[in-house]
Amino acid sequence: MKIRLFPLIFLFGLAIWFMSSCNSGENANTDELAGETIDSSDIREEILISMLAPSDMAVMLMDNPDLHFNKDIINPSSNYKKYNTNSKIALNIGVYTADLSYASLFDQEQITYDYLDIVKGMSEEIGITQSIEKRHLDMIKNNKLDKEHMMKIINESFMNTDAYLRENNRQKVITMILIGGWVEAQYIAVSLTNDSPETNPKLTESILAQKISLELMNKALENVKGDKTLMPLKNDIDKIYKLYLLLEDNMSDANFKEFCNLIKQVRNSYIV
Amino acid sequence: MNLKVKHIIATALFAFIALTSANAQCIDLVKTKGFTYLDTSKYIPEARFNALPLREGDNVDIYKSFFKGRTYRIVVVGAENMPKLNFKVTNFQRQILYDSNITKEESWDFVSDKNQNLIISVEVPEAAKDKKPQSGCIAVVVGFSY
Repeated sequence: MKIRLFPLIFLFGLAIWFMSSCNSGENANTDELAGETIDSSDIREEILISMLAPSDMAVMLMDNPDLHFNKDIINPSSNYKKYNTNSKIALNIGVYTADLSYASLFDQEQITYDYLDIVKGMSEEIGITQSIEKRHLDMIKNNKLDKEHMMKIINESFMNTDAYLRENNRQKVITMILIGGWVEAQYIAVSLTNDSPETNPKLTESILAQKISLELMNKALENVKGDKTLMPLKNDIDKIYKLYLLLEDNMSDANFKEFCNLIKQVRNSYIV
Repeated sequence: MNLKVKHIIATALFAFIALTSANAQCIDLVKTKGFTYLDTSKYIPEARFNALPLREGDNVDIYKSFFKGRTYRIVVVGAENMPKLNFKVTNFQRQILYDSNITKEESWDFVSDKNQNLIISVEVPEAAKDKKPQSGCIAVVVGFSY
């Protein structure tokens, strides 16, 4: 019995290993995000740094009745075809998630649907097979949903992605998605200020409030020295944080403009 | 292949399967018990997935940003086989803002009076000395009112 049972167990294990390899994004053009392992089988004291998701970030920044939707400032949908490395795809899943969340806040159902579909495709390209459910896409396509309902769908979709990546020990991918989303949401917000803190004081206040979420991001990136994928992103975050400190010290028009310019420069480097 | 090697491989496979299955249960815990306690008719669940498998005696700290003027509900729930969980919300100086040991509630509603990063510390009580520690998912679900 033992002799017959073992090949079965072995084949079953082999099948699981094979499936998990197929789902880990190794078929993308480069696999610079492969090989991450976090051993969660023997946890005694765990720390989770729960940085803001792009969709929550968009709500915190853009939930403001004085704002409007401007299609020209979001990352064009046609750009997704040119992202052909895992890093670029991960960053721009975050970018597009922030964009679609911004669109959903201003009842742009078609853009929300199109961008969710793009995020679904990009996620599958890097092996995230359980992100946006078809029933959610159908709900957006076939119904006139209110903002609140849209937010719930978008957040649940992001949570699926987050859970999938955590369960597959792909922490680096989720970190890149979160950074891409953070920068894009800030980019939309600073674009709507026209580089002046006076344009919409409530929006300026929301932009400044995000210093605390950047502090958490810094904490999450504390141990990435030597990581060639995350180090450049950490440098971007450090530069932005320095300007936050400058604004805290002296909230002048010139300093705010410098902050806006840096956000734009960083964001534009992510979407190329 | 000798019997010892077979045993090691089989044990590793079973451990892998058990872990994968435990992880899959965590998202279910969030979306069922977590969302029920959150009351999604009143609170929009935030998008981050803050759930993981733990054993009795383990604990987890979750660092999270809260924004001025927003109304939040923090929910802490565990799988059916887990004991009632304790959780505290503190600032980074470890001053306690909320302690479920006092209120005996699974959730805390509050309005953030400033932009702040807080720590949600969840503790799974230890198993009795004569019992094998249970393990299962725990989930922290945060929502905001809109």
